Amino acid sequence: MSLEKFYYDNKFPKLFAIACIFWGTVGMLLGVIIAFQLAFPILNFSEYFPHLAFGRLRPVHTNAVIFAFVGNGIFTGIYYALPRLLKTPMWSKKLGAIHFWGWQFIIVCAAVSLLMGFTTGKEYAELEWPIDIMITLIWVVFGFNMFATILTRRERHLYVAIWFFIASWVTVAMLHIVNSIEFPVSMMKSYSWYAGVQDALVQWWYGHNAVAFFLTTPYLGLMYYFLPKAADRPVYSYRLSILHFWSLIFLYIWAGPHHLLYTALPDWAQSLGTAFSIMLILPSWGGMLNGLFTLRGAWDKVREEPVLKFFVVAVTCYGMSTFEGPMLALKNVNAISHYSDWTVAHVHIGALGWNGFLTFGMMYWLIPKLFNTTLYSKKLASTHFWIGTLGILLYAVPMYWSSFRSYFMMKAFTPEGQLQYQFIDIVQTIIPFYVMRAIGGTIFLTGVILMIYNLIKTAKSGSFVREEEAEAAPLVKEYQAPSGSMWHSVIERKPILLLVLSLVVVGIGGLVELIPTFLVKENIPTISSVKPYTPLELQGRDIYIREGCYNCHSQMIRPFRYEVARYGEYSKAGEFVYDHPFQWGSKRTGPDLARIGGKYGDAWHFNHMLEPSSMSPGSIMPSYPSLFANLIEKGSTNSKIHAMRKMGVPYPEGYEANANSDLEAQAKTIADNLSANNKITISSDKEIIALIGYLQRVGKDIKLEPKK
Amino acid sequence: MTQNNIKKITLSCITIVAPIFIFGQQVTTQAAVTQANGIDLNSVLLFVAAFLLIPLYITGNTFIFAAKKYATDTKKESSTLKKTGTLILLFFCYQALQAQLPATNATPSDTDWTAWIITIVIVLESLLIVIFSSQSLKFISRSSVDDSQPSVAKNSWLQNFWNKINSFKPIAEESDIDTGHSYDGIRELDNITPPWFATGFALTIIFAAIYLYRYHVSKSAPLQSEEYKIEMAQAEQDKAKYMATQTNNVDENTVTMLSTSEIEKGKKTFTEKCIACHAANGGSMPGGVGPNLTDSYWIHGGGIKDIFKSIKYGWVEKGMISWKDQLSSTQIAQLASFIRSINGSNPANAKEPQGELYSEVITATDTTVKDTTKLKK
Repeated sequence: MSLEKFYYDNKFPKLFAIACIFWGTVGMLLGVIIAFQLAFPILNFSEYFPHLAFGRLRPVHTNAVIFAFVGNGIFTGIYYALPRLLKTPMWSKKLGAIHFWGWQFIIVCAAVSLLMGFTTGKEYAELEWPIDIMITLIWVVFGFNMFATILTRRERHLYVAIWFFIASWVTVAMLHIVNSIEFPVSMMKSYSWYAGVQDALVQWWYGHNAVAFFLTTPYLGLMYYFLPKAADRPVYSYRLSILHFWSLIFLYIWAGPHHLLYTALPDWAQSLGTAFSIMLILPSWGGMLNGLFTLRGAWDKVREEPVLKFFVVAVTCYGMSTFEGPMLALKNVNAISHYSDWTVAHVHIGALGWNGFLTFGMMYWLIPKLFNTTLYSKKLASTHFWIGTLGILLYAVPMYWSSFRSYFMMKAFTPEGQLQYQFIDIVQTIIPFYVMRAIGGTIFLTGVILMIYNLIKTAKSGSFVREEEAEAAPLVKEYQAPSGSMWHSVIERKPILLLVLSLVVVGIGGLVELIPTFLVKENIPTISSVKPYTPLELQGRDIYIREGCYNCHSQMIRPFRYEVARYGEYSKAGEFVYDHPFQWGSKRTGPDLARIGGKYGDAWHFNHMLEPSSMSPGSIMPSYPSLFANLIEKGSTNSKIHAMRKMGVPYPEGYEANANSDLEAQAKTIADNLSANNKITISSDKEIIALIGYLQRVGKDIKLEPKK
Repeated sequence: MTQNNIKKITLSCITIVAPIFIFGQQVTTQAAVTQANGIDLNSVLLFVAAFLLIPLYITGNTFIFAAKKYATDTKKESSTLKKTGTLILLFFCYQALQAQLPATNATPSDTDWTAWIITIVIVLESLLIVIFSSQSLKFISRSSVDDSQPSVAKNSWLQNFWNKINSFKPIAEESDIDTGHSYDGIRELDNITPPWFATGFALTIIFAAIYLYRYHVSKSAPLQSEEYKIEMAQAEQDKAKYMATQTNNVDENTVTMLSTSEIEKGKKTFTEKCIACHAANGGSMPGGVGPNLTDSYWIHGGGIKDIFKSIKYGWVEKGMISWKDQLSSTQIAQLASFIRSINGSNPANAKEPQGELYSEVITATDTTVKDTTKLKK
């Protein structure tokens, strides 16, 4: 058998690594900014830039960290590890370039469009439809390049890291496409195809598994390559890899509904979410065990080598969050954690600890390799390690504390049966924790800056190795598996089979949960008094979505005494049937708004949006002066009504033509009311009028239902 | 050596039994405190506290072992260290148990307090774990420096235990289980999955099955709407029980003007809750959200009973929210009295009059107000 000579390309790992670190820094900086905004609302600068208010900036932060930082981190690892594991270069440099530049272009488009207020209003899937399509195309380019590489390999069997890459690729594709089905209204505006409960289920099936198949499984793949490489130890257990890979991808997909416990989601779906989350503990831990046990016999190295230190903490944080996650999926724990800072702490243990530290470890290992040199300063890297760990602790501990405190205050009743604290009292109590958290984040970011300095120095001390020569024998067509080889090795030889099996395995959970929710009518009992929004309210709702109100306000009252006393009757599934998209939210930095309609007068909302602390002293909500200057976008009313009707919202045929006159009439009533009762002069075509119209409608219909 | 073993066994027993004690207590406590409440933070916290005892026990043992090893390596008398370690551990267990005691006598009102104590215990536990592990590391690293030739044969009890539960194969025999795979130089071993891993996985599957069975097949566990009904019924019952012990419960039919000291309390509530819409002096402002409360014109009546009613039920369509879930009837009475007391104060920059002229003037000391509640649509 003659050996073939070929070259590993290092250009794309380098480019992706640079992009990863750059966007990571930007994303974390945004995180620090919004953390300070929560403590000091003046930092929203809403007088000058409506684009920089918390509600718009927070999605930029989450998207940047997930898709730009971690995304580019995944690609860095794959473009470096995949060719070496398969003994072949990446299949096409051209596709590599399209993939790289396309992905960066998407990130820029995403950031700009989100700041401008173009959003679908669905968390971690906020990007509007043209960008969704771009993502799909680039994802296909990446997948094609990856599969072509796999199919032209010189290594018969696929290593466990590659199983994770394949499963991640196919699942992310499925999640992204299904969750992004939306009805375009204009170039940069669309409505989710699903409504209310169904939209919520699809969204969290997506949201949870974006964590699973974007933040977790690809990074497990990276761990399986870089950890044994850096430790120079064999992977602990091959059969554990098989067991935890298949059980992990099968079980993970079911767990989405645990984001919707105690909501209007049908009970059976909630219970599935809880049950499968608990079963997920050990499969998740399989990855941690295989990582940590691989270090058996190398622990003396861990003490010396910053790369391994980062890996150890990353894997430990992974173990911690994957234990905490299932605990949070238990109903009674979730009652405390949901809508609170606990969830925020939980995801940041994962994001800062697992994704952050694994990326840092990978970079400290990879950059010296790419530049054929050694790390500029191990000491500085160790400092980064300690600073980073401190940052994570300072971030997480105040958030846990804040969650517990607010929970106790939230549910405190006087013996006479009144709520003991107002929402604003709770906000005031937890502001100090927000400050501490922001400091923790700043410290973590400082560590990243140390890393950048260290890596630049490293790169300068070496010279970039554009290509690495290697040689290997091609695969022969006929292959006789040695007798007694494991059954699983068959799958490892057949990448397409692996792809199809992965898709089947991840498909099952989704189908079982989604199909009945869509088809069985009993899951969402009809409430006859719930009617579609008026054109003005619909426009107001779009303003609500644009400003990202859902980042701080939920619209889902859970059936607890303290929530019903504070916000009103708990939410019912039938109330949301015309909500494209749903706006249940996942965090209550401000109070729930599901029954805000009619709670206060129009003038209250008017003054509150102009200066929240005037109506609610001590409020940390940004002010929204721009709403008092902007005009309602009447030109879009027609197409919005049309899109809604196409998706089954029962507006009468031809209503599009009359919609704007109804809109104007309702707007005039509100403006007249303000001027008559409160001597407030405002022209009725301003956005604030539409927003007031919407807010005064939310959650009101159910009260009109005839008593049985 | 036997003496040492006895000590170890006693220690293990204490640590293992401790959580059982705690849980035993908790079951009864919980039943008394929050029968219906479903969400019981204390049990969660206690679970965490009890769970932490396990790593604490492990790290504590490691600490003792490490200290012992350090002591033998440095040829010092080990018993002091051993004793100290054991004492710390025992002291801690005792503390943990002590801390649980208040839970036994807990009443609904001090559950929060209990939770704080357990939280502190958790923090202490975590702190001890950190201290133990860092100390052990220190001892181990120091002793390994002294060890010119580390002895292979002598494994600690803990190491043996750790190796056993994970079914570790000694690193020296690694080649027996090498799969022969080599991916870019990465070899793979074929260690068996740790037995506890497989058992744990099986247990979670059983848990999931029982969970689904209880909620959806046998229906022996309450689903959320049922849970809500139970919670509300319990709250009603508690409230009724409390109210029965209280005399003079005021409502809109019995409220009267209160004394000056009560009015002061009303003023405090007013400052906390009302000034956003009615301004600090009660006069609102031109274009303000709420009406002027200091003039003689009233939209919904200006008598003490009218005001009480307006605060309690609100006039939602006009923007006045109902305060009955946030203020007690006593507080509403104080507030209504305060509002009556500022009538005629004529503050600067007040809102223009709204509603009908209401001519009655009442002073703070006048407690014999005639019924002025008018019927409202």
